[in-house]
Amino acid sequence: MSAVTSLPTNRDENWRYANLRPLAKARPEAINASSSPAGFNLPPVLPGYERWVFVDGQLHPPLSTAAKQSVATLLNFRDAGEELATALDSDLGSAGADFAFARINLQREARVLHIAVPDGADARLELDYIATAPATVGTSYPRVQLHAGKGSRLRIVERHLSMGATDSAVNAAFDFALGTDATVDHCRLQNCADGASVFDTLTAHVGERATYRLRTVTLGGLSSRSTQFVKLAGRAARCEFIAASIANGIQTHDIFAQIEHVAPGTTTRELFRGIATERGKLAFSGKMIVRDTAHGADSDQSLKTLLNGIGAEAAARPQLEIYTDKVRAKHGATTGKLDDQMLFYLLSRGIDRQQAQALLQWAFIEDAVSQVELAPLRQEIEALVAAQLNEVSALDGLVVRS
Amino acid sequence: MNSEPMVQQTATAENSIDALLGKSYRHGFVTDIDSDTLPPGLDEDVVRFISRKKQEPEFLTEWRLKAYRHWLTMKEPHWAHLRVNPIDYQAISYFSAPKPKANAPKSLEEVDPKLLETYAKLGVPLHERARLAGVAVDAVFDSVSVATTFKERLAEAGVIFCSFSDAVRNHPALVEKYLGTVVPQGDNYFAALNSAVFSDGSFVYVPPGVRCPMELSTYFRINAKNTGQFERTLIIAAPGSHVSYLEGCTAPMRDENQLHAAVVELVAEDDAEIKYSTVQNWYPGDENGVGGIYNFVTKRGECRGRNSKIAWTQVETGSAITWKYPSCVLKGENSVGEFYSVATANNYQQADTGTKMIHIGANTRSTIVSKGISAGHAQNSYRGLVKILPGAHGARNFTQCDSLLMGGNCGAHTFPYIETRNPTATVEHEASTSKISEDQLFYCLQRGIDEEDAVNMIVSGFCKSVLKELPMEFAVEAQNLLAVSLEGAVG
Repeated sequence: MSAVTSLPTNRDENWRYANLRPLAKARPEAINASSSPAGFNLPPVLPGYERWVFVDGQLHPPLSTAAKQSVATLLNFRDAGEELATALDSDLGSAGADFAFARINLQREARVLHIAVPDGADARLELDYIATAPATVGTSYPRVQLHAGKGSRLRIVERHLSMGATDSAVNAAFDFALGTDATVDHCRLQNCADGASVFDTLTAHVGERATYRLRTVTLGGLSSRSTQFVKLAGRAARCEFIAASIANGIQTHDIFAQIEHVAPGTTTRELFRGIATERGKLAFSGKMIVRDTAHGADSDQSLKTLLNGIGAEAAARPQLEIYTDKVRAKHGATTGKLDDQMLFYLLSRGIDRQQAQALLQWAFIEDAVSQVELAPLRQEIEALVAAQLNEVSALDGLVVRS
Repeated sequence: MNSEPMVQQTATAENSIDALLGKSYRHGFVTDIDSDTLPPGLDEDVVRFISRKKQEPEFLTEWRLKAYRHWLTMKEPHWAHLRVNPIDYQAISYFSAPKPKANAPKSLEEVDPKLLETYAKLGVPLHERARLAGVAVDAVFDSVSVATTFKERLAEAGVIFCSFSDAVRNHPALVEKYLGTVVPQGDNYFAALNSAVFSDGSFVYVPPGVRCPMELSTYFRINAKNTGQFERTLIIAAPGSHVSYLEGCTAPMRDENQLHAAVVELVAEDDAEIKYSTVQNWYPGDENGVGGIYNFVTKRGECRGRNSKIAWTQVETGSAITWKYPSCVLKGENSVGEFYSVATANNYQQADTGTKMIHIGANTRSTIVSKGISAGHAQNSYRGLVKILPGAHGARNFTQCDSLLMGGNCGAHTFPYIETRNPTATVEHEASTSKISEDQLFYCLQRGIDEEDAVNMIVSGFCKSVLKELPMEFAVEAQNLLAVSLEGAVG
C-alpha cells in the first residue's frame, strides 16, 4: 500500500492516532492466488446463517455455505454498482484523507459482494475474511455493497481472522444503504494475528425509520484503523454504535466514527469501552454532526478507556457539531485506571488481587460486549476477550453464559 | 397542554432575539486624538523601527527579528472551526501611539484628558474609584501603555507592575530571563507575529512570599483605524507569591476587521498562585457581521514550581472572531491548573476557544468548566486538550463543557482531545448541548417572573459556576455584559 501517494498521514486531523508505519512494508497489489486454509478452525456456522468465507480477499467455496437463493452475490467489479449506485449515498464521501483507503480498495477493482435484501425479507449472513499471505506478498481488499430494502431485516456477522502469516495487510470497504423501515444488525469481530494491519472504511446511509446497529470488537492486529461514516438521512432514523477494543503489547487500535444527523427525529447511541495494557495504544474519535434540518435529534456518546500498563496510551475525542437548537446532545468520556474503591471492595471480600483486577476489567469491557445479542457469537467474543486480557484462568467459569 | 401559549412564547422569544440583535455596542465610540501611526506594511525595517521607537536593548531587537524571520516561514492556521476572511498583513499598521504633547506624561494629571475621558466612558477606574475598588490599573491605548496607577504602593510591597516598555527599560534582566520561555517566538503563526511586532502590554513581577496587596488590572483599547494591536503580557510569580490580574478590552465600531494578536505568558514558581481574569468585549461587528475584531490570542501559563497554581477565568462576549486557548503547563509536582470560561457569540460572531492542560508533573490537577452560549447566526466552539504525559503519576482532570443554543440558526460545537499516557491518571470529561429548557422557563413564568428576567436567571444559573470565580471587580461588569448580550433570547 505504500506505493500509493495519497495515503493519509498522522498530520491529518482524523488520523493523528493511527499507526500507519506497518503499511510501509506492505505490497499494495491485491493477492491473486490464495492458499487453502487447511486445518483452520472456523467457529461453527451460526444457527440460521449462511456463511461466505474469503481467503485473502478471494471467495473460498469449500468453506462457504451460501444458500442457492442467497441475497448475496459475488460480482465482478465492473458488474457491480449499477443497481446500487442509486441507493448508495455518493455524498457520503469519497474525497479527502478519510476515504483514501476506500479509494485504494476501489482502484484494485476487486470482486464485490453485492447484498440486496428484498423489501420485507429477513436474511442472515456470516462473512469470514481469513488472511493467510504476508503483507510482502500483497494486500487483501474485501469489498461489500449492501442495500436493505423497505421493511427488511438483515443480520450480518463479519469476522476478520488470520492463519499462517502474522503480518498480513487488509484494506476493506463497505457501503451500506438502508431503505425505509429496514433494520441491519451488523456485528464485526477483528481478531487478526498480532502483526497484521487491518484498515476498513464503512459508509452507511440510513433511511426513514431505519435502524443501523453496529457492534464492533477489535482485538487483533498490530495496527488497526476503522473509519465509519453514517448518515441518518431519513426521518426517525436510528444508529447504535457499540465498540469494544483491547490493545495489548504494542498494538494500536484507532476508531473514527462520524455520525451525521440530517433528518428530524434521528437518534444515535454511541458507546465505546477500551482497555490498553502493556504498551498498547487506543484511540476513539466520535464525531456527531447535527445539521440544521435535524430538528429533535438526540445524540448520546459514552467513551471510556482503561489503562493498565506503564506504556499504555489512550486518546478520546468525543466531538459535537451542532447547527440547530432543537436538539439534545451529550457526551461523556473518561480515561483512567481501575477504580480503587471497587478493587478494595473485591479484595475485602477475599478475592485475590489478580482475579479482582480481571473481574473489574471484564465488567468494564462487558458494557460493550454484552450488547452483542447473538449468544453463540457473544460467547465466542467473550472467550477471545478473556484470552486477550491474559486472564483466562482468573475469569474461568465467569465468562461463558448461555 | 394547549400548545398555543408555547407558540406565542416562542414568537415572543424570536422577537426578543431580534431586539437583542438590534442592540448596539456600548464601547463603539472613537476618540479623536492625535497619534503617531506607522504606515501599513511589515518588513524587517518596521520591526527595527518599533524596537528603536521603544528604545529597546539589542537582545530584544534580535529576538524580534528572529521571530519575524520565523513568521515568514509559517502558514496561517486554518484548523479552527472558523471562517476567516483573508487577512492582508501588509495592509495593517503595526504601530500606533497617542502623540505625546511635548514630553511623555509623568503622572495621570499629564495624560491627555481625552484619553482619560475615554477610559471614564469605558468605566476604567483610573482615579478615585480605583482607590475605592483597590485595583491598580495599567491602560493600554492602541499600541502603548498610557497610564499605570498605584505604582508606588505596589513598589512598597516589592511588586513590579508597569507597562512592558517600562519593564524593558527598567528591568531588562527579568524580561530577558522570562520573555518567550512560556510562549516561544515560533510557537504558532500569531504568536510569532506578536513576537516580532508587539508594541506594549503589562509586566508584573511579584517577589518571593509576597501576596500582591491589590488586584492588578489592564484595560486594552484599540482606537486608531487600520491598526492591529499586538500587546504582550508577562507575569512572574516568584516562590510563595500570589497575584490576581484582571484584563478588559474594547474597541470602536468600524466596518473593517481589525487584528488583535496578543501573547500572555505566566510563570508560577514553587507555591505561587496566579489568577488571570479576562472580560473580553472587543467590538463584535454589526448585526450583519460587518466589521469587528479578529481576536487571535495565545495565552499560556507554566506552573514551574511545586504546589503552584494558575487559574484562567474568562468572559468572552466580544470580537467578530475569537481564536484563543488559555493553557496551563503543569510541570511542578502537585501543581494546579484551572480554566473557567463563559463564551457568548451572537449575530455572526465566531468563537473557537477552550484550553489546554498539559500534565507533566506528578499529582497535577486540572479543572475545566466551559459554558458556551450561541445566538443569532453565531458559531461557538469549545476546543480543549487534556494531555497526561508519562511522568504525571496520579494526575487528575475534570472537564465540563456545556453549550446553550438560542435560536435555530446558530451552532455550538465541542472538540475535546483527551490524551493519556500514564495509567495512574484519571480524566473525566462531560458535555451537553441544549436550548433553554422550556420547563425551566415555564416554571419561572408561572411564578410571575417576566420572560426576560426568567431568561436572565436561567443564563445566570447556567454560567454561575464560572462567574463565581471572577474577582468581584469584574463580576458586576461580566453580569452586565451577559445581560446586554443575551437578555430575552429564548430558544
